[in-house]
Amino acid sequence: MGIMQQVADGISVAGILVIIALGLGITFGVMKIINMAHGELIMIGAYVTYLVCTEGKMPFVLGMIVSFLVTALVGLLLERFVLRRLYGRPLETLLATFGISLFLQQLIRMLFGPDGKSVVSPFQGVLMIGEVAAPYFRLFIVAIAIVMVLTTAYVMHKTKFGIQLRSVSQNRDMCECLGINTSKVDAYTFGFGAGLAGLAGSILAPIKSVSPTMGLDYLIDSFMVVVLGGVGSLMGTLFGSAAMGESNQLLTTFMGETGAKIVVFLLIILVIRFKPEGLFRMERR
Amino acid sequence: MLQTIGLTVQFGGFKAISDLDFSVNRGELRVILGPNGAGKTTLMDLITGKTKPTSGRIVYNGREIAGLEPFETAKLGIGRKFQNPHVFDNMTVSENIEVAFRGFHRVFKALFYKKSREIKERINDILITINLDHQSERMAASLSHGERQWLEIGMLLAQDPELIILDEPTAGMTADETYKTGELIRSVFKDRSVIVVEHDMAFVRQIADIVTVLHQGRFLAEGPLSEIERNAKVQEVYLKEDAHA
Amino acid sequence: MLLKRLGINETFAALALVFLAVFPMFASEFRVELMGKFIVFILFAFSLNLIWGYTGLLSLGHAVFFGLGGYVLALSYSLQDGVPSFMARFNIEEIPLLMRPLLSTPLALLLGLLIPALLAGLIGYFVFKSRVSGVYFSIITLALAKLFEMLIVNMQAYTGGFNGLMGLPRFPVGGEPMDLVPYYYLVLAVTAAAFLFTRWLTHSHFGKVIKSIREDESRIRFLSYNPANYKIFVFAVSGLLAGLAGMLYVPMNGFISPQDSGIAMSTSLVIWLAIGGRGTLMGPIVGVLIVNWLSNLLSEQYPTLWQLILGGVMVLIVLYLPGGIYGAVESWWKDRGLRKKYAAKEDQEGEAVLYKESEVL
Repeated sequence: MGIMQQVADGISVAGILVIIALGLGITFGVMKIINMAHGELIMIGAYVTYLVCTEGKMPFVLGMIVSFLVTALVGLLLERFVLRRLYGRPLETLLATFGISLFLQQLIRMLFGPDGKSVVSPFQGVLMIGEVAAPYFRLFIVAIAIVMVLTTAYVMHKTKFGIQLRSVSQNRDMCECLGINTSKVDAYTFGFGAGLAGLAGSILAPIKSVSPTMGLDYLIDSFMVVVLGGVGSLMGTLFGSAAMGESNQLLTTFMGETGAKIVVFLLIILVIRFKPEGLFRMERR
Repeated sequence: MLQTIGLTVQFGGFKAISDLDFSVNRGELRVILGPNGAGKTTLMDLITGKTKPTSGRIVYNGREIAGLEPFETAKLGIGRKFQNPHVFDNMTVSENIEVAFRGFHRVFKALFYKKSREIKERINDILITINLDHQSERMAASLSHGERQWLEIGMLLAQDPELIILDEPTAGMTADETYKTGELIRSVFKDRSVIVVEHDMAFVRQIADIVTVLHQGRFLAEGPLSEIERNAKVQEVYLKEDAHA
Repeated sequence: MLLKRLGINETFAALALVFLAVFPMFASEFRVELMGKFIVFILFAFSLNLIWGYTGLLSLGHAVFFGLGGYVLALSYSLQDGVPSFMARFNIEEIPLLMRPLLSTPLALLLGLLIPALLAGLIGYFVFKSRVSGVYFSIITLALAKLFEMLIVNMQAYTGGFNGLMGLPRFPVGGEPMDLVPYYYLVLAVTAAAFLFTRWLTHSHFGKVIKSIREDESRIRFLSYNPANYKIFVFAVSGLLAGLAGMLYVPMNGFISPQDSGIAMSTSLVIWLAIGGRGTLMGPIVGVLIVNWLSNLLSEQYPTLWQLILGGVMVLIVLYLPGGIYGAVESWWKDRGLRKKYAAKEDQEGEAVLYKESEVL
């Protein structure tokens, strides 16, 4: 396979990472918590898509929408009943969401069994651009990623909710004094982040086996994206995903999957040591 | 003892401290006044190494200390009390004091340090001074706000610094507690250099020798409190506001 | 009254020691082996307790250090009779140069401690020297666990791959394999020593410093301490103890597999300690014994349900019982003691104390 082909495949990997890391980055950036159950929300999104599309024989787009809504709802419930009691204690939230991730994994395993499920890709066929083969579904992923980034940018910068959300992330106490309902902002933020995870799961469903443990890899990778790109920066997430997606894809051809993961891991450790604010973060105070 | 020369720090485009020359002598108790945003806490952050200056120098005992880490300035004998009491909540009162002692900060010294009788006695003396001797085994989290403030002053005593920085030491205290704290500061820190940032004018009158006034990150005036209160420039920017408030 | 004289931790520790010491006299060989494994897990939980319970840094990949210790010893065993079959299958005719040192058992034992300690120290150096939040540490260690598991599975020629290394004898040093019961006591003795070590460490000045790092890291920086050095050191010591546990595990269990060195084992460890009570001396013992005993009772009949319950219990513990089971017991006992003490004092010298208060200030 040519190097251009690898670069092209890397772009679609990056597309998935963007959507996952957007959700993770928003919750981490605003609420200062790492949601260890983010991977399981992806997994739930994938299962919902499986139910809607494979079992229910509905169109894929409907699967995506329902996945987004269901995981957003799960996110709202988690925020309401668990996370809300733990704000300001990041390590406790990490531990609680870790417990939640175990719980959800087992719940799905009980309901659907441990074996992988499959979802048929809504787009068959491949677009040839010179030597490079681009399956339509991969192009679709990239398109969705772009749409989600633009939507998020719009929500964050142009809507009232986005302004509230950003001000909560800057100065929570001040916002409370200004009469912003911060717990509502937190709930919606978490719900939106969860919904994005579900959407990513939905898109993953046709290209990966849908199984109870599918979320973990994506949790780790998307956290790496957030570290690379810098916390709370949309552009950072975009560049971080591109860097992660491409380096994973290209390195895998040279040294196999494990070798690639090792190199990326070492890279991340170096970034944390020497550029803890992330590689792509704009200079701020 | 401590001198800043042309000290400037910039956050983004905003100069929190600009071109500040300021000095404190050995054994002096200096109060820093200034309206909100005058750069008082930023100045304290710069001296203790929490913030790095954009330009300018900070000289302490003839040594350049600008850009050092907080643990390095602490080693050199600069101690700090925070605006909201920062004590270690899930540790007992006496553990809080003990951990503040200087001279055991290296990993291996800390491992093989013995709690000598001398240290036990010093802990006990400090606990009596800050009036927490009958609560020594209590978790710091269960103390009242005023007691936490005192505990942090006790930690400073244990740390035994030459230069002490107190950032609003009486915040959240009752008038009675505030007065007691003033007396405590005057008596226990009397041989040391102390810099106090404070808003409470009654408290300032109680303790101040010399007052320095900052305004928008710049030096405004300096002198005994009575003089400062008559200073026209100061009245304009600060005392008037204070009187209204 | 024992409780009062010895203190609560020491009393419970003594009771636990007596229980574990007499256990082989009454139990079947199967149960002794099981309990032996639990004791190894207790040692393993001590190691996580140092970095998580006392220093406040949650390592989600602690089984990596456990696995490193275990694999070093297991490989050392496997190499004793020349090239082992799992290597021969890949046409490896000589023992690889890097593994030669493992032919010497004492050297292998040393390496089983040093390699995990070194890896932990190295990771600690990179993560703790720049002041990123503890969340970064948790995720990096989680990624490490995933990576290590993958690495072992993929390097099948050198590690036995997915199936792990099997048929390992019961004693590290000298000719004949040891009997189960003597080995059980060896493990118990090492774990008891580790308990005393933890107790010494956490009661020392060092222990107070790491606890203050857990409580408020930025504050301790203003008291002359450089938290990074402490965190690196604690993590290295914790890695060493985990490696030790891994080495003791191999002879007790008879085999080691990638699952013992990755996410699954790391996760179990976190659950034991969270339920038992992190940051307490007895928490690891209570957590390991209760969870594993229940797990043996229930997991055969209801394997998935049991896992579901564990996940739920984790959440409940975080919300309602952050100190775990033993943490709750301990703080109840301490509160009770304090209340009694102050009540007595106030009765005797209530007025005197009041008088003194106004006098001092």
